[in-house]
Amino acid sequence: MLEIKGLTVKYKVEGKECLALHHLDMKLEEGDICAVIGPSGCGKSTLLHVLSGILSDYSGLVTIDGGPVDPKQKRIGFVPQNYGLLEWANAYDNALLGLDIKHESRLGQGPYIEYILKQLGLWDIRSKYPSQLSGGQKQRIAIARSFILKPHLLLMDEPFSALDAITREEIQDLFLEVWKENKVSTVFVTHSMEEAVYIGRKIAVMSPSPGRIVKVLENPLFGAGNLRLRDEYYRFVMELRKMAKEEWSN
Amino acid sequence: MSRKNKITGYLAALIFLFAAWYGLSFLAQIPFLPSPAVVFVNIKKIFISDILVHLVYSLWRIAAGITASVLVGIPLGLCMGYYKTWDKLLSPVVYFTYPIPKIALIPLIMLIFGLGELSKIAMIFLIVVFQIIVSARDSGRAIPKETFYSLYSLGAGSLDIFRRVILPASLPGLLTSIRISLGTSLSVLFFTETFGTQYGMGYFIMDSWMRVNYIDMFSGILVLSVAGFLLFFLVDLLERLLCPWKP
Ligand SMILES: Nc1ncnc2c1ncn2[C@@H]1O[C@H](COP(=O)(O)OP(=O)(O)O)[C@@H](O)[C@H]1O
Ligand SMILES: [Mg+2]
Repeated sequence: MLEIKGLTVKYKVEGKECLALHHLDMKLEEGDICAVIGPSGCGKSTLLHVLSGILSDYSGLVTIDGGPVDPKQKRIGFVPQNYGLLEWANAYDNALLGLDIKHESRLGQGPYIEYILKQLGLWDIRSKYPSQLSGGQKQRIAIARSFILKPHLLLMDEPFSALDAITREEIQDLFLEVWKENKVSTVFVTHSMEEAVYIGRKIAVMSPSPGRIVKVLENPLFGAGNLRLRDEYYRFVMELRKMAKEEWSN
Repeated sequence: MSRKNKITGYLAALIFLFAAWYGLSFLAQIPFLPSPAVVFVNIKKIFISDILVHLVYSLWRIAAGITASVLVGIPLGLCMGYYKTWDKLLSPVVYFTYPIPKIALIPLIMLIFGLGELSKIAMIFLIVVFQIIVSARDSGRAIPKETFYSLYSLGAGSLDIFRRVILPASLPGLLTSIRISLGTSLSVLFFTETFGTQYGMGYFIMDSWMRVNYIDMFSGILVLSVAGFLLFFLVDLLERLLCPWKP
């Protein structure tokens, strides 16, 4: 459903060009989850900005379902690294921004909205404004927004980074649960190997800046359940770490 | 708690001011400094019959001037903040005209708009509109670009972006600029009301002064001050109503 060929992105900083992505190739099947790992600054966020239609100044070929990236036509759920909340809207309105922009009724979605907000621990704080919330709560609003949109393509940029360990595990499980129901095609950026193995069906490893995808692994443990109780999980994470270290050191 | 403290503070200041006024008038015993008690009684007696019409005229001029400034200044300023070409074209104009003391333009304004209503409103407009343009432009610029990203990724059009990001983000700054320009516009209004009209608080105060009716004069000053205070308060109230998200 998603195909990237030779994607190159340059930023212009004070007249100088700075290469962020260089000939990146990637593919995502319908209903797949691809975890993208890479060292910081390698261009992970840049990649998602291209896929979400925020950044359109690139060279190379990027298609969603064979067509161009057009957020007006496609339903793209995007969880930005900095949450992307509107300061002047309360948690509830922020979570429903997707429906509002798509001019869809909130009413029909009522029970699902309530379910998601309750599962994410946001129901009781739904009338609070972002300035009154913690980083973790704001991040959960951003996640809620993308779930409530029921997107066709879900893009998440380190979506669990601000959560404490226990909440993170709960919400990772919630994500997998929601994903199982809708099987939405997902690209998921993280710098945590554990998270990549826990959530990704495929794991794409990026090179240091300027970023390319150097390896794509099939995750043999995907869907195995109870991963955190299994030795294979920790062994695979160790393997991945060793491999990434090699890729990133030279 | 802190709001209660604030109110107590305002009340204490008010009592102090009136006590000082009372003390001064009692000590001085001069006709052009009547005691506040006498002024209060006079206001009660003549407010409806003699003052109200002037107050309404003044408030109407203020309201018309500010409304016109908002209608012109907000779109202009936001466009300057959002589109680089508008900014390049208009910012130098604003830069050079902003510091001109607008009151110096009164003769010119009167030549253009005559002695009547229009020139008084135009003066207020001239004072307020620059504040609003500058504040709208700056708050448009200050919105971090990441704020737009979620809307872009949802495929939002320009109308959505204006309504959901640009306008709410600049509202607090706009209200502050209105509050700041309110004081200046009140004093300029007073000045313009001293000629070319028989209505307005400026006219009432100056006329009482000419008639050597100091009690009426002080009544006018007090009513105008209270009106100014209430306008300030109204802007505060609007801010609390429209920007409940402000910490
Ligand atoms: N808006 C921008 N302007 C200029 N350079 C940028 C911008 N955004 C990112 N970069 C640069 O591009 C590179 C990749 O950034 P980013 O995609 O944020 O990496 P990551 O998300 O993997 O940490 C970095 O070197 C960063 O400094
Ligand atoms: Mg990033």
